[in-house]
Amino acid sequence: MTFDLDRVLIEDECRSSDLVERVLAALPAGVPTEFVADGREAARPAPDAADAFAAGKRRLVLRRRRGAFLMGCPAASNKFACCGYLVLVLASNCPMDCSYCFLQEYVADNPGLQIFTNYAEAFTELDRVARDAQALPLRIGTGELADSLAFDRMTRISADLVDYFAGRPNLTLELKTKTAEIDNLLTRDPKGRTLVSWSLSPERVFRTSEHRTAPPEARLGAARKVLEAGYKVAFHLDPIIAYDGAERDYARLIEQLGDFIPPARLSFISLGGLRMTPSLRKRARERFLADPMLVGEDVLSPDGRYRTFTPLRLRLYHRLREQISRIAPALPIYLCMETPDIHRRLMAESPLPPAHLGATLARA
Amino acid sequence: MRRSVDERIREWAEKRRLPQSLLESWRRLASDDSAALLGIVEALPIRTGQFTVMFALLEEIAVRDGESLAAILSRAPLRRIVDGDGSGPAKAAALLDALRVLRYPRLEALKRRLSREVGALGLPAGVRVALPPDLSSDELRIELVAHGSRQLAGLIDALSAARDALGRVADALGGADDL
Repeated sequence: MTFDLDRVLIEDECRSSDLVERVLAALPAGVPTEFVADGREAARPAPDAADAFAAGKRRLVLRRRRGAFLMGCPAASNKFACCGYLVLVLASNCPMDCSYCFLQEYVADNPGLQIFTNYAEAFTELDRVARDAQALPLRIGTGELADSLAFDRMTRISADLVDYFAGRPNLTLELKTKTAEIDNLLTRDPKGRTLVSWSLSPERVFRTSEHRTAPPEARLGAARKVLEAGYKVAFHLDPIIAYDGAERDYARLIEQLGDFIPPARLSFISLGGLRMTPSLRKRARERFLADPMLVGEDVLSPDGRYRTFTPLRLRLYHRLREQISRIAPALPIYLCMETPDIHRRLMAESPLPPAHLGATLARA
Repeated sequence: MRRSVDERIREWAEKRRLPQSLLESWRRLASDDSAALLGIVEALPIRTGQFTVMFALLEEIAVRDGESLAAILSRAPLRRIVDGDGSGPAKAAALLDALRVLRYPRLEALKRRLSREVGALGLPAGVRVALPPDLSSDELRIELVAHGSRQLAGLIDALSAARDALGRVADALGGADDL
């Protein structure tokens, strides 16, 4: 997949970085490049753009990251049954444009597509975390504030990551994507330490709401290839959208998934209903006026987010869980951003503490 | 001389102190849609707050169903309310209720069904069964208000007799039913 870029802005002090060289060598002809003193300023919203967030998605900023690379998942909260996921921030924002994406709110103040040229410094942080965790398995992903593979054709960061994690027995890398950009992955041996996961939606959601992403079937085809190349594979059915006909479409999607991937070889599936803060909901509706997926039967929930009213959301979770259990009875399933009460309703047991669930998923 | 649709819209908006942004949204609609909406507010005594809610519901239904506002407003259940008997304020309220049912069909159907089921239990006044607002959680709250041990025992007995039926309500909140 190639994504249209209006220009590339490179922080002065990164001129000689390997990553900049790789990106410039792979950049399509005609995309202007410019050097800037501070890449953070270059990532700010364009004041003259009608849709500054969309404009940011076409402005690639290559810069040094000043802060830590490793952080807790931004979705984590003591209100939710969490999965203990750790996030490695190597990039920010995404060239694809899903109507429901939380980044519309989360990176609204710095929407430029940023890739951090000093990403190799993250390995020092990871070494420390791996040492401190001792034998506890940790799952660490790059696909929270960006798609893990969207620009991999240009950056080839995935190869360095896979090689690094291949030698760390208690760390599992999760590369989360909506692309089919797997060519670089197929050149490496992950030694069982890298899991590639796809967010997956029914065709109807893909067509209305997941702009510039790979079609679901292409994602499944890519998943099969990386599985055959020795990677672990998982799926995130997230966000689950309760449109009219969703129950049937999601059931078909699970069947389709089982046709592409031997269910016994899946690592896990996560489920998460569509949830939006009021400001994200407003923003998304302003940007995607005609998207029917943004006008479901959502109500303001006790956690301050709009969600599909609970009985309908739970009904979909129940159906999906039954369907998944039918094709893969022992497969770990977990909920994202739901309360322990909802977890107990669905799973008939209390959720594991985040560190335990994280370890289970890292081993899966 | 007949006033244009736009003049009548502006006149109504001024009289009702409609926020400028909402007036602009109304005037940006396709001519059939803005005229259909004008037809409603001229037929019924819609208040400003009601208009704001009605406009949002109509826009959301239109996006979801891929229909124009005019087409939605010409649906039979809505026309029956607008053209039917009853006081103007009652018809305005009924129109909003009907739009809410169109916008949230499964939510409204389940809310009404569960309220009916709880009502049919005939529980004494000291037992209050509260469904979560807009079914936004799976929590069923039951409150007993008793004055003295004898009354409390009576309420507990009544609640106990309704145990299975209340259990079905609690399960329905957890997604047990077809929707």
